[in-house]
Amino acid sequence: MTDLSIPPNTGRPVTLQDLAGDRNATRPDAIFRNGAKAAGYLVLVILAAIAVSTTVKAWPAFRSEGFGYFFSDNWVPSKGQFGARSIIYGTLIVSAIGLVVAVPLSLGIALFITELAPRRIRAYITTVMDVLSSVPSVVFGLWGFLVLRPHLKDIYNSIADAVSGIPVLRSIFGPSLSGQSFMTAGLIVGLMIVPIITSIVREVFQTVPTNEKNGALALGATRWEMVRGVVFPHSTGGIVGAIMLGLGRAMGETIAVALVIGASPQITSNLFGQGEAMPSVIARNLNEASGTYQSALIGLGVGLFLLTILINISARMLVRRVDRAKGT
Amino acid sequence: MALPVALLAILGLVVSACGDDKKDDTASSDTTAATADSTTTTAPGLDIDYASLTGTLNGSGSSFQDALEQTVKGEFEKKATGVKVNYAKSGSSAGKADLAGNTVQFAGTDSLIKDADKGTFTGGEVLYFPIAAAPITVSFNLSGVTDLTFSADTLAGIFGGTITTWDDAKIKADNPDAKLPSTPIAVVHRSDGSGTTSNFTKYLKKAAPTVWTLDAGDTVNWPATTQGAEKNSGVAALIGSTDGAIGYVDLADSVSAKLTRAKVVNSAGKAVEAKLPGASAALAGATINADLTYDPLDAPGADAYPITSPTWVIVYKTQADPKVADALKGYLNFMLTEGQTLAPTVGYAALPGELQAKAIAQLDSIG
Repeated sequence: MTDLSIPPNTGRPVTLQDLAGDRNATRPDAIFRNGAKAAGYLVLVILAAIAVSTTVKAWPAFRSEGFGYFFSDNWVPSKGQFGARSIIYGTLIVSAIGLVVAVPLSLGIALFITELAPRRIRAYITTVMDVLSSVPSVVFGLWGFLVLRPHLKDIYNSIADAVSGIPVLRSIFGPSLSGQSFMTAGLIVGLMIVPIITSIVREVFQTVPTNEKNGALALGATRWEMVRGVVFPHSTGGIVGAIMLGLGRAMGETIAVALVIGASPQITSNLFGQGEAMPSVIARNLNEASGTYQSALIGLGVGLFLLTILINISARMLVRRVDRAKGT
Repeated sequence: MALPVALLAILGLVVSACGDDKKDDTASSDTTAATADSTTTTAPGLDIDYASLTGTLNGSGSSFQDALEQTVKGEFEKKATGVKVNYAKSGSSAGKADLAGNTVQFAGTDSLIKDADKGTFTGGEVLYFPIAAAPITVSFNLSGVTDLTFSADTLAGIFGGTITTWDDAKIKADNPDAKLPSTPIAVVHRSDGSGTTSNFTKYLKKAAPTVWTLDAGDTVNWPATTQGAEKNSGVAALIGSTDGAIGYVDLADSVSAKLTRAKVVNSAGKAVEAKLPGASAALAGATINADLTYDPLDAPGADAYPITSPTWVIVYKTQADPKVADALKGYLNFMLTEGQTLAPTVGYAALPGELQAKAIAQLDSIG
């Protein structure tokens, strides 16, 4: 019980001690504080434990390959050579394509939902987004492999034909043999992360004060000027956060990418060519691998981990810089 | 309300597309028709009273022999009502590791135990029982072309990335009568570690040693111009939907995906179809070692299909529990006698009589 009564007048000045009340009364507060603290630190401990144990497991591969593990691209398990550069490249390219597809689409959908759509349609779109985010990735993968890929192959090849005379585009949009490619994987991953980015960005847009929006409109701004001048500046941090979550999902996406990327590690500028991505290699081979091969696969996991941390930190720095530039 | 309907339609597409993969069992009908003459003289098995056996047999390993294991164990359990047989298709390497660690009573494998790994088998000497064989097909999809023949050197060139278009002079030399388009070749291989890849690359290494430079193994360093797909069914689906594609697929998946299969020139210089009689002929032509291991790849014999994959059941010679020993003997005896009659119905070539007799004779040493 907290003692709320006024301390008795003892004639001496009231000290902090007197105001603190009954010591026992703060016990639930202490339990709560320590519990929350423990939960907070536990995340860090788990993260550190994962990092340490995977690094230890991957160590034999790192030791035998040295820096070549990340910087050379001869991934030949049968000969015990593990240079993951081309596989890391594939993951980065697929994620980049995924973001290029998903970010404009998600921002567009979120703006439509919050600023333009009639209430009834808004509900429909939100439901469809929720359904889309609950579709298992293997379904996306199978759909991509069996239905989408054969059509994409024809589209890729007609694009490749169309740009075959233009120097730079020619090497980016080359011919595709079967439709399995960085682009197919990127498109599917992009589709998969649209719901995640959309739902967060939508929440962020909804926190923009209505008064400021109305103010901008009252000053004669068009709807787009209002979005650019009020909604976006208010939401930079939230948008970057949403993109980072989407990117994390894109980089870690395993089965859908494994089904459509073509399993052929190579570094090529041809986005319509086949490649390989880190999680796919791990998923396909881990249960048959042993010895150094196994360590090398776990090493890919460590690499993915580092990559995610690196990208997250740089995104945070970016947000901070943008906020500072705005003077907030 | 159009959106939910559209979604359902998309889901329906996916489901039906997945179903296509293994829709009808034309595999068995096609293969049985082809094997009329593959049932060689059947050696009599041991005289075992199946009904008296008891216990549980756990096995794991080769996914290649899974269909045969499942069929045979079903029939076996009808006769040996006291025995329960389990087989998990975990892959040859996993099966060998399980037997080494004594977690299973038998393992299925398409490859031999490596010398380096022999020390890990704590239960003593391991016996090999050949149970069947099957062809690995070279399947392709090229519009307007239904009949092609490949020599080993041409195959090595295609899969090694040196032959890149269908009208290449080497392919023309193998097929003087075929009208070949200039379509680029899309080479499809397994993206997962696989015994099929291992046997296919072993064949190329053996039959085309000068052209094939990529060595052999569960995974090899495929050229960047080739591409991978998941499992036999994934490779078959990719070939089926891509004009100009070629790949290696097991017979059952190639048949159920309705792919066109090429003839392959064997060591006797004859072009042989990828069917069960060819596989049986390859077994008959292969040299059988004393421990019943053998290599049917590029085996001699005019009718031998050169890319024939072997498969074995491996067990420990010394069994601690006599009941388990009896049950194992019973199951293997059934596999080697009635199982051989069942094999062609699920896409495997039965063992030739001589090899079958040797395998049955080896049963007595389990105990």
